[in-house]
Amino acid sequence: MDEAIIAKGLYKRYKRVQALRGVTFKVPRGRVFGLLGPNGAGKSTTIKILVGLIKPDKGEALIFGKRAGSTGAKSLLGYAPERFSIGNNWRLIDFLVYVGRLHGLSERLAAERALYLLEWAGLGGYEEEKFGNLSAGMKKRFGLVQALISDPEILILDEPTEHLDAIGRLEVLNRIRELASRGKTILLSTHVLAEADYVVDSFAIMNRGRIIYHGSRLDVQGVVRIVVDKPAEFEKALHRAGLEYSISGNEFIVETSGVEDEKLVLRICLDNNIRVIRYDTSSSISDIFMRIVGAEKR
Amino acid sequence: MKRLPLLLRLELERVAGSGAVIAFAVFVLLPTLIFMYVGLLFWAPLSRQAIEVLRLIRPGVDVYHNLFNDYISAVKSLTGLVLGFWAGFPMLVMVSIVIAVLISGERASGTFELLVTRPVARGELVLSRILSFIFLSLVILLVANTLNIATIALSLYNGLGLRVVVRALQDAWKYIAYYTAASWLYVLAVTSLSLVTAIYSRRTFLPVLAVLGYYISITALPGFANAVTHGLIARRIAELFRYLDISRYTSTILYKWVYGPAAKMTESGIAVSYPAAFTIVLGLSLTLITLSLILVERMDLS
Repeated sequence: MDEAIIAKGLYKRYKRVQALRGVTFKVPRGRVFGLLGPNGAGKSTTIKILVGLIKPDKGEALIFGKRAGSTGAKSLLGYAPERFSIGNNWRLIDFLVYVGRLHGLSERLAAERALYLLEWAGLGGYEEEKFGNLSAGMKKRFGLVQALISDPEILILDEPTEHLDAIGRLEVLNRIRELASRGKTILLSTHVLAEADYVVDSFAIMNRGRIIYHGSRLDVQGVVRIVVDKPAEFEKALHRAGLEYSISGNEFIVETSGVEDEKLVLRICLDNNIRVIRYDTSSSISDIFMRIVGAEKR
Repeated sequence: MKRLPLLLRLELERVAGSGAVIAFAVFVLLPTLIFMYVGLLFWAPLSRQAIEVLRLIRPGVDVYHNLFNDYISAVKSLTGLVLGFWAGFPMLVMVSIVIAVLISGERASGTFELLVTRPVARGELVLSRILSFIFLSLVILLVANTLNIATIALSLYNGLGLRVVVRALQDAWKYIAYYTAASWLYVLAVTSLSLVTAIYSRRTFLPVLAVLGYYISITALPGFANAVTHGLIARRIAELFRYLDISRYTSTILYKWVYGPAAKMTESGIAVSYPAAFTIVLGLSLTLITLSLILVERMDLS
């Protein structure tokens, strides 16, 4: 099965708030998928449906074809919530072994894996420590460790870098990239777009309970920022070529839908003897996000 | 429910050493320890004195038989201590605190939400916590009641020797079972009562508050009703609330066990037969536990 996660027309209402309004997306196996959106967009609600914490009013979510929330689906998942917390008196090793055994691991195997993962997450030597004695950053990394104890096919991370300092964020993001390179399917939610840029392969943007954009990183690498010496001629040429663009100061922001369009922009400059003063194709998810969410707000 | 045996084993390992269960054990053993202290300090010398006095005033009387009967009476009088007072209001509060810590505490810390994302059913998680506590409470009550009997046996041994102790214990074992079973039925019913609140609450004080509310409704409200509405209505209200008192039913069950099948306990004008009492306690417990399991399966955990 190529689709690791499928969400089909999810609706959810909390008393007076309609949290989800027909959320639909697919996450291919082995990809890092970002669920992006401002606070209150419905990201956490969607994730809670996927891990079986809440039930949708309408629609269905499938994990490798199994109904989300079923024991079969949950056995394929590892989940680290936004505010990861357990009882302060749990020793790290005890909790990991407990969770490992819920996944059917033997006590010895669970303990071995727990020690390996703690080491991997930079928590080596803390196995006997109580959860309550950890710093915020260590707790967040421990959240990632407990999600990995069963070596799951799919990892679901809700705001994995929230409440972390810059170094802590980078550490967690690097761990996520490392896991992605091992072929894990990862779904993460974040409202920090630079982080999404750093790790995701494909993404969906949510706003007000709906998916308003769904695509891959390749789709968004078509925004060219260019400053030229003959802006009037360049604008006419862009218009003739049928490219969408906007102007910010002396900078043209040209929307392209792939490498061919980028080549076309440069060809226009060459053909019209227009000198390029500055050229940048470093467009990002942030651009897409700001454009789409900004348009929604308008 | 495939993972229930595993969960139960894990939970027993974990809960056995938890502060809540240790507190419960201390709470139940406290009257036993007081009883042991008092029994060994005063009862043993008194037994010896009783033998001497009996031999002096009634030469030829069966001293052993007389003291044996005293012994059995003493065992029965423990009912008042274990069930009459200790298994009343204090037990009600203690059990609700333990369940609050075990279930609401896990919800408050986020542990419960995290564990339900693992390949186990929610009902299994709740049931494993309840069953482990019910099992541990049975063990604790058994230890407490055995210690009570042992105290009396030691006192008797001091005065009368091993022969009487052995003879007495042949009869006493069933009282141990009676007291333990009746106390345990009470724990079972109160556990299921506080469970329903604990499932819904992330605040550990709420289950305790709910049980306190229940206690006030069965004790203070009948009196209050009587104060404001004299006559038939007040009596009816009082009866209604008395029917809600779990300890009445467990006392009835114990009374039947101790005094035989024909026994029927009457209190405050309300007679409850043994089968009715038994059905009410077990039926109420099982219904509330089942209700809790259904609720936890259906509710959103966010």
